[in-house]
Amino acid sequence: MPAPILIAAGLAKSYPTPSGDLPILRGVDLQVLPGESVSIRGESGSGKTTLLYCLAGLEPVDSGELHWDGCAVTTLDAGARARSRAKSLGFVFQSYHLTPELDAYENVLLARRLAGNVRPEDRSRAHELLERVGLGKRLRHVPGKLSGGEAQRVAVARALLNRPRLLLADEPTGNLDEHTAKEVITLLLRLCSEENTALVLVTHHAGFAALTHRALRLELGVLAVAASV
Amino acid sequence: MPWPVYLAYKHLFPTGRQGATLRATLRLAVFVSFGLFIIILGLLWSNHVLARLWADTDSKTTLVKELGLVWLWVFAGVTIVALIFRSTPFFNAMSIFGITLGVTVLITVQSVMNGFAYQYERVFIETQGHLAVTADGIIENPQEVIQAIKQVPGVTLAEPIMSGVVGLVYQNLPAYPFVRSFDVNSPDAKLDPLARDVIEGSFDDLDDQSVLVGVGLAERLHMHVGDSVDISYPRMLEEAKRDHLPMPKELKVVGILESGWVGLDDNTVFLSLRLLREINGFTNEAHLIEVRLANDDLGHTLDLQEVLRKALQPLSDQRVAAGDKYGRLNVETWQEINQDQMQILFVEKSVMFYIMIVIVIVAAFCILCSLATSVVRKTREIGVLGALGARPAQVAAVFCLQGMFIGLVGTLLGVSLGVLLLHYRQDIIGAFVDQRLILKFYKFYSFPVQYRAWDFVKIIGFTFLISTLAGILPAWWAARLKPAECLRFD
Repeated sequence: MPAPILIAAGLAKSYPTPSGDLPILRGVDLQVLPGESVSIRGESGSGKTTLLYCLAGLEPVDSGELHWDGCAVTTLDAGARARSRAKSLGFVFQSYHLTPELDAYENVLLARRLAGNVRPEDRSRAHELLERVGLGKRLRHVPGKLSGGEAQRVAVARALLNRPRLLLADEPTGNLDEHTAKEVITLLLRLCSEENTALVLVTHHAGFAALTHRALRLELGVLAVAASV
Repeated sequence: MPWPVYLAYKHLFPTGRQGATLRATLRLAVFVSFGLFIIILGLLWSNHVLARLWADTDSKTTLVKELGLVWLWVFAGVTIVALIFRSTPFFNAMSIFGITLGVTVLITVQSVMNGFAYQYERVFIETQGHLAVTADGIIENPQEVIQAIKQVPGVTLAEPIMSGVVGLVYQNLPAYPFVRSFDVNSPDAKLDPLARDVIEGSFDDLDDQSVLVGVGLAERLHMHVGDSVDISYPRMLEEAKRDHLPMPKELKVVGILESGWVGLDDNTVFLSLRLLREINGFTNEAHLIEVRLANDDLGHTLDLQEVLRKALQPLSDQRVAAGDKYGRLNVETWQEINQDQMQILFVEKSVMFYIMIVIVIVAAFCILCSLATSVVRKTREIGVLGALGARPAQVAAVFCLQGMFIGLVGTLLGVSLGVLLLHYRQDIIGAFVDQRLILKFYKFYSFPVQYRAWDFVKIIGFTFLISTLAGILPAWWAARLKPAECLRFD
């Protein structure tokens, strides 16, 4: 059995409030194998996004351990975490978060620029990924000229450009209609499978959660297997 | 290219805006430039300039062509402005233009002040020479000193000069001009640059019974070559006290001289050295010895001043030892002689620089506000960059570089506009101001300009630095933002 690409052990996170610390995560344990897709559901305010940000190293945890591909993330400083994130992680957001001043092609390539120099093979891969997401003819369109579904496809291509071992998706279909959402989720799962990229998907949608290898629920700050999807 | 540089450039000149709707931009530029052209014509008409140009110009076709050229320049300028507004967001464009205006003003003012200084320098050198050898009193036996001066390599001319003030009456019109001598008996006299400035008559005709007159003075008194003038001189009073009947000297005007400096042309006459010595009661003296060098460079002049001082020291000591208590010889540069005027120019130039710099500082505040707004608007994008692996310093660099780019573009435009305005300064100023006013107050026939590399370095460097600094505060804010909080920003 291959080593897990993501190991989170006993992650705890709380936010300070005027009336004391508010615990959000109370010891989350999670292991994700290479190429495996895991969905996390939960009620609004249960801490799904917080968990995702902690898994991405964007939020510091109060306690616990986090490993990406064997590297102990919690021991790294912010700069090292950022460098590691650029090379090893992909991220897809609910609101796409494309840079409005760049066209689709440039947005995809931005992921490579943050990880280092852009090589000719990166440009070819950006072209290829945009073709695979069905936007081969929309390379030079800025986000303002793309629909929500198209923009999210560009975000998916951006997230996969650096061949990350792990992709984190925070409600990627939250702003899309049902039909487009299904297209995007199907695309995301297919591409992650083809690239052998592990996927952690935060979603409200039970039907989409069911499409993943494993469905979990975040309740009371801990992860549990979803009773039914 | 490092990604912060790439992203900073893209923030300023986003994809999709570059060259967008060029046809629409040109169409807009045509309309706006016509509108501005009408306004310019209106201004020219209201100042009666159009009527004057129409009357003064021989070929009306030429005038129409020149006005057409004015429109073309306006169109080019409006097109550039429109293209910038089309290529970059509004606030960035305004920041760029703020810097452009500041740099244009600085370049223009500094170059004009340099021009004034240079004009004065040329005038001083042409009319006074590079160095002046004087004594504490009057120089006895100046030929001895001139011989010693001519031994110094680099000296091209050393001539004895007498000067003073005389009274002049022509057709019952009095004047009290300065008087300066030419040693017409010396072959070196023609080496004096002023000798080449005779525009009517001939320098060769100057002798002990004749006079050269400055062009402004001649015009004022309606004097011409061939006319006779009566010259009175201060020694006439002494002669009267000794019961001599002093008579003014009647001299023939043999030439009209135009040096290019109104201060000289308006109020100076030139006599032969021998005549000026005679009316001053001297035989073989000089007020000073004017020394001219082969090279106008100030550094060279200062070097030769030292050399000349050392060369004349023995002669100077000898004269003092021989009992001539006013015989100590001094060597001054043209700059030392005209120290007050040069110092005033330097102070004016410096003060103007520090005042005009405020424009650039205000423009830098505009950049700061624009970038600070950008940080707020792009908070979520900052979060995304962090999520994709950007470090805080790199995020900060994006905004700092934007300030740098704005400064760079604005500076380049400002330098270009400044040089363009200075190139056409005579036409622009002449369209709105009577050139005779410039002549009257500034003593030059044309508005002087001189470009100095150090001024450009100073202005470009300062503007670039302050534009970059304006980006630092927004950059610092951006660097402090936490990616997770930015991603949640609504």
